[in-house]
Amino acid sequence: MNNPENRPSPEHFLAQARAVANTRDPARAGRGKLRIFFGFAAGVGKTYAMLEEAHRLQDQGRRVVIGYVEDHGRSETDLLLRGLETLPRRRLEHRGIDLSEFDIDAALTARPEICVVDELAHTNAPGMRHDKRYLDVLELLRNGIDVLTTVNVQHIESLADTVARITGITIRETVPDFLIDEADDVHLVDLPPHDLLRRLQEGRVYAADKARLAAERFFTNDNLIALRELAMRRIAERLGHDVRSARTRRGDRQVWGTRERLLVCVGPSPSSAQVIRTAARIARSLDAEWWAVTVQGTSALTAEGQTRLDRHLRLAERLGATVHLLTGASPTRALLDFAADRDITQIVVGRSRQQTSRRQPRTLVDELIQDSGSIDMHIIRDAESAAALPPPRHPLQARWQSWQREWLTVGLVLTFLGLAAGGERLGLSLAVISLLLIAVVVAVAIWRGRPMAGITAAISAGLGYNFLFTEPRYTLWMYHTEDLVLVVVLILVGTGVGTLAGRVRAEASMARIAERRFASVAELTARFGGLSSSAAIAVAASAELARQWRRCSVIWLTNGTDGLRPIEAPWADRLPTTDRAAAEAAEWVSNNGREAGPGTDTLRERPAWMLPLVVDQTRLGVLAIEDAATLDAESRAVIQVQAGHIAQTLERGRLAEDGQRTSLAAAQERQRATLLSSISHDLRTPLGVIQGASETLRDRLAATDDADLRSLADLIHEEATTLTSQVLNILDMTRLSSGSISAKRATVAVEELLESLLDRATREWPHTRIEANLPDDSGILLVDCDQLLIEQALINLIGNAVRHAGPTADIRCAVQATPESIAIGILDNGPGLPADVEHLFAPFVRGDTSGTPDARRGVGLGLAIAREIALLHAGSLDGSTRPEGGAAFWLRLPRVQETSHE
Amino acid sequence: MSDHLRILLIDDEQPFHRLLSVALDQEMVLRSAYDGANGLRMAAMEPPDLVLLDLGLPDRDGCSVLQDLRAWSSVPVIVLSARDQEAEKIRALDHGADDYLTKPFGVGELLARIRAALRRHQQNEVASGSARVLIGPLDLDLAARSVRIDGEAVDLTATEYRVLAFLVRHRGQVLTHRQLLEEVWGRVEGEDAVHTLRVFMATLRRKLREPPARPRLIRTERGVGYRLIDPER
Repeated sequence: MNNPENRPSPEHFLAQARAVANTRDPARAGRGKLRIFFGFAAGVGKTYAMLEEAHRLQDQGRRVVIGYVEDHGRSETDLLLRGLETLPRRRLEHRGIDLSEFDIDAALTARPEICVVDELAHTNAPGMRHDKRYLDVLELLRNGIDVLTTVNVQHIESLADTVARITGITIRETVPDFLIDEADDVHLVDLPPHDLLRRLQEGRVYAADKARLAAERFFTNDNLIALRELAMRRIAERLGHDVRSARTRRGDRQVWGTRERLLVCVGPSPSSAQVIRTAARIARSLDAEWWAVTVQGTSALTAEGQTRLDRHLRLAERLGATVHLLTGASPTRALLDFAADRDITQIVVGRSRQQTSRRQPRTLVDELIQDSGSIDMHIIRDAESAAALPPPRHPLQARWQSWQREWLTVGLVLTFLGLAAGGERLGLSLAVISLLLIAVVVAVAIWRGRPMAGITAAISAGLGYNFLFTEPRYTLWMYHTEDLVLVVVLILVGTGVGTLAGRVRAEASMARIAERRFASVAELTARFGGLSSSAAIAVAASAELARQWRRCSVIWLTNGTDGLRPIEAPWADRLPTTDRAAAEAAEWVSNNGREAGPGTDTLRERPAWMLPLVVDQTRLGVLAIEDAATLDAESRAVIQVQAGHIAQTLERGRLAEDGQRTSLAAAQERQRATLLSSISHDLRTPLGVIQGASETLRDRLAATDDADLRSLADLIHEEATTLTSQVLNILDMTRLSSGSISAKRATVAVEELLESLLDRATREWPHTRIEANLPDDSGILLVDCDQLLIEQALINLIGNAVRHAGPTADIRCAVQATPESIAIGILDNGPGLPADVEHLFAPFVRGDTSGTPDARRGVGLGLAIAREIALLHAGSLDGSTRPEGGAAFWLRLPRVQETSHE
Repeated sequence: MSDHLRILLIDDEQPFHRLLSVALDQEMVLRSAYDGANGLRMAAMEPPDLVLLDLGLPDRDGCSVLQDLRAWSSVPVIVLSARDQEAEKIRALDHGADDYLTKPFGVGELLARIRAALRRHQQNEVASGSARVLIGPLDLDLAARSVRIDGEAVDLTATEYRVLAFLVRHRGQVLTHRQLLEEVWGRVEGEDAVHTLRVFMATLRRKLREPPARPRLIRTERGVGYRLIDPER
């Protein structure tokens, strides 16, 4: 019975402890470990060190596979690759070139413990799932696979421009810094630069012909020394990060005082990328939380500018920033409001080379410095072009268009002046003319809605009036002070009104954008009214999104058992979204909780943009928007907000459905219990009568000679008795589990309890020896219980013992007393209990049915009832196999202290 | 009295009547009533020697039937109760039922109880007992107030003696907690009283050298009370 193989091993306990440790950090639970071999240049021996480590791990009995290793034709590497399992590469052709790439699907299918993936910074060929290899690696980690990988210092995102300055070579393949900071282990592989150069010359780094080229451009002694220093600094920085995060984990936050919070202003200017990198470096060195924001002003960006801006925002996101799109007529105001909101302590902004203009007397940087108050400012020297903010217009074309409009203003005013000159001939007074002129200037300024238009109109009106109507006429001279005042007032009014109108218009347009954002979410939410099923919510949401964005939209819903299923809407199957590749993409998005499709790093070639619908780590589904490549950043931001709303609503729907299911199940359970109870009630009386009748029959037949008849009567009586007690058990169970029995407690002496228990047991099993042992001199043991229920529980235990220990059972009823509790044990000399004892306490479970024939009897409720009864009394019931053999069940009840009588 | 002992069964379960009409002893005859009103009428018209009263009657509460009956008859009554009628059962015993049986019960058990109840009733009517009582190991001299167990004298307090004498006078009969408390202490209320009674009985049993869990004299009636065993059963 006692199965030693079922006993948990020490390894099992270790695994459990590990699982517990993992759950403390939910974000890391189940994640693989990342180990990076970090070097300052190619050829220092990263791959070699990594493969040695792979061998070491394999020797320890771990399952290691080579996902991808570039051998560069180096024989040493080749040698080390032997003896390690290597995954097949994914072969594909791109523009006539055969390429082989790391096959993420093969790795996920193989499910090794550790996967070796060389060259973390590699850019994947188009058509692969991810743009970058590090995204493949992250996916492996998410799937619980440990990864060994290599990277060089020049590929670290935040160092890319520094490296470019040192070496003069712009690096395009970069990896975000968090990979270094959050890797579980970063191993610096170092080699003195002149050794590296020698290895290079010996052709041990690249194949011989490439070596010279590489050496000329990159591998100079000076470069290598600088890169080596950079790499060491980066590692030192990471060490500092480790120490700090260790301290925060320990809970002493004071170590670094008040936390720094950084804000970087991002624009479409090419130099903005450098500003972002600098900000990332500052943020990291301060261990600060940081935000990247862009202000969308009134003017639209060119397509090129928009693409650059999107790229910059993504860069910032990769470097660890939280990205926000702000709107506001005044970029300075919008930025500072945001900064105040987030308690920003430092602002990083690029300095524009373009100096002040007429329209913008001060640059953004000037304004920020002036108004930033207690916030520290970092102004980053601009390498190339205009300010990061505000976005520049289309340079020439825009200027031309704007001048055209100014000429139009001038033309209008001059036309009016011409008419006025004619009017004067007809007797119109100058006072009337000047009033009308002011009216015209105001009208033009309001109509054009820009400060410039007001000024142009005012100046042209002033000059024209001066030319036409003031003495001396047809000159720009004037004799009367009155006229001068008139012209000056004209100009002032025009400028003032124009500026005012311009601001009103700008604010109106801002409000329109905000309104549009708000409205698109509000309209979506309105669609959800009254819907409670997930499917209905998903259909409504995709219909509404399709209407708002004029693009087909489909939602996949996560279905507990079936995985992802697209909604059943008339448009769902007409779309390419429902093809196989789309389903796989949706699967990926759901499993990884990340976006995919155009504008992201993953599956960029797919037509649809897919967003995970997630609430609190609960995967609810995937939202797909077709033809997403043409959406602008603003629209994407709105759609992301909408996706959040859809997810929330789906979650609400799901909870409602769950609630319905639960209450339905409860109702069914009640119904079942009621049915069972009423059946048992109805059975009880006839069974009692059958039992009585068979007893009488048996007694009357005892005198006959017909042995067959006697044995038949015995049989009927025994079976009737068994059936009766089983029906009573079922009745008890339904009443206990429905809570309709509440213990009628009273103080009971244990000896009285045992007395009536043995009485009943002897009556039920007259042939079984049952003895009771009470501890000697224990005083009067009292328990607070419903005696009938406790007796029933103990009778069930004795019944079990009789059934399993067989007819020769020797059953002992023992009592153990402590000051707090009293345990009543039913011990037998039967075969003992199976290893999984707890299983026996579940309803309708019977013990080992291979034993005595009697063991197969019973409906398996006895122990379940007994435990219910014990719990009802705030007690416990446990079973075990005794060392000397046989089963022991101990029913433990709280003890009542004896109080003196009389 | 006629040759046959009349047993009146008041119970609404017809098959049970059929069973008893066959199972009863030769000298007994069954009279059947299927509800409380009919039962009382029959008990008045043709007084039975013993009444079996089911507590779950269709027309009225079994206890009230018993109370009505007790107003004019001292016939022995055995109440039959289901397991979920504990409280009614104790109430019936407090109101003068002689014994009880919980369904389902064996016919043999029922017959034994019937015989015992009838015998007790006859003894009480014939003679109210002598001064010396011998039951199993117990030797009680009511006149001398002396108690011996297995021939050895036992020293009892006054209260303990009163309880023992009370049990002996009603030997074979269930005495409820309430009846014992009322008889001996004159107070009955509360859970505390029952608690005290249990501790008291445990002490008394120790003095009477009762083996724990297998008493020879005073038996526990679970949740109801105590009964001194009937030496002739």
